[in-house]
Amino acid sequence: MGWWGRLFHRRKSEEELEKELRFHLDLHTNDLIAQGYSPEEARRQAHLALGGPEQVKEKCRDARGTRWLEDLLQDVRYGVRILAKHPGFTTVAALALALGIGVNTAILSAVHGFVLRPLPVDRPEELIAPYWGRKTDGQVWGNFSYANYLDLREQNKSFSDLCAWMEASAGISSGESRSAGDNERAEVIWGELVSGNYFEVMGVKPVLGRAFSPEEDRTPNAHPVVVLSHSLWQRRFEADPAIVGKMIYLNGVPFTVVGVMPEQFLGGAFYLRKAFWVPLMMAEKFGRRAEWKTDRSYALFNLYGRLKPGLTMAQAETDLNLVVENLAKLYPKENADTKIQLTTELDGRYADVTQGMRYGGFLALCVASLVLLLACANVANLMLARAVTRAREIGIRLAIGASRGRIVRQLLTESILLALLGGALGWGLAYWGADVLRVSFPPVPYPISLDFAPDSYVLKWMLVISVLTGVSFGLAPALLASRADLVAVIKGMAVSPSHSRRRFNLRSVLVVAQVTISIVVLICAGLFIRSLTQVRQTDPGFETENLVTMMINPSLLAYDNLETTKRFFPELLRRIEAQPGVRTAALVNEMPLAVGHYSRGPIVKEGEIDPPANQGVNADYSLVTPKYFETLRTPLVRGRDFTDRDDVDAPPVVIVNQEFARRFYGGEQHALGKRFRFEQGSPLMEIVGIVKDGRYRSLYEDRQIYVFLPVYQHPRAGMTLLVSAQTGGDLRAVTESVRREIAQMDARLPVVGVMMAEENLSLAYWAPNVAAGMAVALGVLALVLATMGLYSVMTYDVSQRTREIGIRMALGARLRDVVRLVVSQGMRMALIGIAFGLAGALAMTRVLASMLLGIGATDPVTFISVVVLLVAVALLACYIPARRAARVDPLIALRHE
Amino acid sequence: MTPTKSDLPQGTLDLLILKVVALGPVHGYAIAQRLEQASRGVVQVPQGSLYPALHRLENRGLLAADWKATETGREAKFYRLTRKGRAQLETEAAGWQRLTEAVGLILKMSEGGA
Repeated sequence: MGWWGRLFHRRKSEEELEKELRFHLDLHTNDLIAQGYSPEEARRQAHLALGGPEQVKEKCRDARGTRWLEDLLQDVRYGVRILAKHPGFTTVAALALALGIGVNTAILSAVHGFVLRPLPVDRPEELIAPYWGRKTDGQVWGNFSYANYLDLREQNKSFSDLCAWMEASAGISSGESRSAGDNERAEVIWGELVSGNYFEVMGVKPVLGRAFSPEEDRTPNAHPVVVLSHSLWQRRFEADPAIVGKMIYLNGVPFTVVGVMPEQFLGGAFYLRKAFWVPLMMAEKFGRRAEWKTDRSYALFNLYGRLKPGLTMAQAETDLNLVVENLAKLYPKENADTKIQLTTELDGRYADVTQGMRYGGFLALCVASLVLLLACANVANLMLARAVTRAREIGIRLAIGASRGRIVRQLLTESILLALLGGALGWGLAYWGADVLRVSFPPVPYPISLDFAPDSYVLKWMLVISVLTGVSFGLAPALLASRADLVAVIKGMAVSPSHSRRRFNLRSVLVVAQVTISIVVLICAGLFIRSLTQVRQTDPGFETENLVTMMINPSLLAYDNLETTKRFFPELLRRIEAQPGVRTAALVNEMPLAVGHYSRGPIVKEGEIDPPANQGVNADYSLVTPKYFETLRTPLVRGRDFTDRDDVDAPPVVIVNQEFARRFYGGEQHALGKRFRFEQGSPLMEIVGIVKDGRYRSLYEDRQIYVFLPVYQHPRAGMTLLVSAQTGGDLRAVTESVRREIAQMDARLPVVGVMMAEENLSLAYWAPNVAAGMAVALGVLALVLATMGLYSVMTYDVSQRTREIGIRMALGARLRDVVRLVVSQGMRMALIGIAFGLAGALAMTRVLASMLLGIGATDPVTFISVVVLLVAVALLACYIPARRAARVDPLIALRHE
Repeated sequence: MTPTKSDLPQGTLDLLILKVVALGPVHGYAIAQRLEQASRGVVQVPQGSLYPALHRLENRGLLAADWKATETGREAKFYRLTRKGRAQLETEAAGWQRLTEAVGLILKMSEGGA
C-alpha cells in the first residue's frame, strides 16, 4: 500500500491503531491484575508503562510517513475556510492574480500556438530541417534546388533519410465535365509536392489506401497520383470509403487518389493546413518551370530529415557541409559561398519568424510578466496588511506549540490556494482572449492554421506559474507573520506602529516597486500606442479607397502562362474597364503589404560585371499590368507607365521606385533611360518610369528599393485583380459585374479572396492593432494595480496612525497640515517609484527602438504624459485616506486602541 | 530488589524487534513481554517507542501485519517478517556481532594492558 493508499485508508488505520493499543493495554492490565494489583492500579500502571496513548499514536502517525500529506490536507481545508471567510479580500486578490496570470497564459498560448506546438508526426522533436546559408553574411533560407537536394541526400552519411517538399496551390474540380455546378464548384486548395520518402520521414501512415511508391518518385509527369487530407476527403468527398482509385482534377489534370491521411496530419508547415499531397515529379502541373529538376539555382524545396541513431546535430552538420563544399567546387555559380545549418523543425520556425515578431513576442512576455509581478506585489501587500490583523491568531498558535515552519507552511498553502484560484480565473480569461484574437484575425485567402486556445502544455505552465506566484507573494508575509512577538501579540499590542515598523517598510518597498513597474509598463504601452497611431498615418504609397481585389489563376485550368498573359489578361481588363462605374483595373502578382514577397537579383548595371556568387544586392519586385499605378493612385514621378505594347516581343522595360533610382544612379534625374539586368543571361531592361516610394513588405520597414516588371514580358497566370471604382460608384455592383465578366470568359475559373482592398490590408494592420489593444489593456491594468496598492497602503498607514494624528490635531494642527503630512508621505513613495520606473524605461529603450515607427524610444510626449498621469493618480490615492484621517475627532483618536 | 535496568543502545530496538518477530507471527504486547523476558529484565524496553518502531518497520516493508484472533478469541494485530525483513535482520545481526566482538576485545585489552 503506497502512501496515497494509506492516506486514503486513514480512518481505517486510525481505528486499527486505536484497537492495537487498547489490546496492548488490556493484556497488560490483565497481567498486572493477575500479579495482584487492584484493577484501577493495574490500569494506571499499564498506561504509565505505555507512556500516554495519545503521544504514542502521534508518534505512530509520524512513523507512517504520510504526515506531510495529512498536514497539507489540513492546511488546504483551513486555507479554504479562511479564504471563504474573507470574501472581499479573496475576490480582490484573486482578480488581481487572475489578470496577471491570464495575460501571461494568453500570450504564452499564442506563442505556443505559433511556434511551440509540435507537428503531429512521429517523434516530432527529432525532425531535422536543414537550411542553406551564406557564409559571408550569415543569412539563411530554407529552400533547396532539386539537384542539390538529390546530391545531399545521396552523399551524406549522417541522415537515415532526407525528404523534400514544397507548397503548391491547385484548383480542384472533381468531375470531368468541370461545370460550375454546386457540387462540382471549382475552388482553390493548398497542398504539397513531396518526394517519395516524405511520409516515411514524417512517420505518418495513411488511414485509407497507401502513400507514394518509389516509382512515383522517378519520372517527371508520369504518375498523376494524389493523397488527400482527412478534412478534404470529409468535406469534398463526403468521406467516401471507396475514394481510393477514383479520379479528381487538380489544375485540370486528372489525378488518381491513392490514399487518405489521418485527421491530425496537416503537412510539413506548422502554419498552413494542407489538403493534398502529390509526388514532386508532377511539379510542372503546378506551374513550376520544366527545368526544376536540373537547374541548381531554382530553389523550390524545403527539406526534412532524421539522423542516424547516435549521431548529434553537430556531427551531421559537419558531414553535410563536406558535401556542400564539394558541390560548391562542382557548381560554383549556384553554390559558392554557401553552407548548411541544421535545426530541429521546431527551432527552425524561430528562424522563419521575422525580427519584428521575435522582438514583439519577447516584449509582450516581458511586459506580461511585469504585470504579473505587479499583481504579486499587490497581493503581497494585501497579505501583509492581513498578517497584522491575524497576528493574534498566529500568536496563539505559536504559543500553544505550533512550530514556525508549520505556520509558514500553512500561510504559504493559503497563498498558493489563492494563486490557484487566480490561475483558474486567469485560465478562463486566456480562453476568452484567445477567442478574441481568433475572431479578430483578418480574412486571408490561405488555410492558415491558427489555434491560440491554451492546451495541456500551457495548462502545465500555468500551474507552475500559479504556484510560483503564490510562493513569491506569500513567502515574505508568511515569514514576517511567523516572527510575531508572542507576548505583545497576546497582550493585543502587536498592531501598534512601533511593532509594525518592519512590516510597514516592506510595504513601502512593495508600493515603490509597484509604481516602478507600472511606470515601465505604462511607458511601453504609451510608446506603442503612439507608434501605432503613426503607423496608421503612414503613407503606404498607395490608396485603397473604392478598390476591390480578387485572385484569379487561369493556369489552374491548364491555360499556359504565356497564353494567359498574351490573350486572356488584356481581354479581361478591357472588358472590366468597359463596365459602368469602373475607373481602372489592373493585375499584380501580389498586393503590397500582403503575405508573399518575390525578389530577384543581383542587380547589375549596364556595363558592369556580375558580383561574386551570392554577394550582390537583390530587389523585391512585382509583376504588374499597365494602369497598376493609376489603379492604386501611386504617383509616377518621372517617365511613363507600362503599355500593352511592352510585351515579350518588345524591348524589356522596367519601372523602379525613387529609392532604387537614388541608390543605384544617385538620383531620379539620372536613372531614367538607364539599363540594368538581373543574373547572368537575363536581358538588360530599360528604366522607363520612376514611381513614388511606398511600403511593400510591412508598414514598419525603412525605405526599400523596389522594381516593377511588366507581367506581359514576364508571363505569369496567378494574379490578383484590382478594380478601382469611380468615386461614388457602387463597389458591390462593380464586384458583381466583374465576376460576371470573368464567368463569361471562362465559367470554370475559380475566383477567390474577393475583398475590399482595405480588408486586404487588414492583415498588415492586424498585428499593430492587436499590439495596441494589448498595450492599452496592460497599461490600464498596471495603472489600476498600482493605484490599488498605493491606496491600500495609505489607508492602512492612516488607520495605524490615527492616534498620532489625533495628538497632532489636539496640539493644534489644522486639517490642511494633516492632509499635507499624509499626502507628502505617500507621494514620497510614489516619486521614488516614478524615478526608478523612468530609469527602467530608459534602459528598455534599446529593445524598443527597433520596434517603434515614427517616434523615438525616448519620446518626450509619452514620458511626460505617463508621469503626469501617475502623479495625478497617486495624489488621488493619497488624498482620499488623508481627508479621512483629517476628519478624525481628536478625542476618539486618542482613545483609539 | 530490582536490578538496575540499562537503556537500550540507539538503533538496537529495531534489531531486537526483527529478531523476536523472526520466531513467528506475534502481536505487540507479546513482543514487549518477550523482549523483557529474554533480556532477563536487564533491558528496559520503552513500550512507548515499541509501537512507533513497529509501524516504522511496517512502513519500510520489513514487517507485514495481519489481524488474527488470539487464543482468547480477541482480534489482534500480528506482525511477521517479510523477505526483506529477514535479509535486514541478517545483515544487522552480523553487524552487531562484529561490533560487540570488537568492543569486547578493546575492553579486555584495556583490562589486561595498562
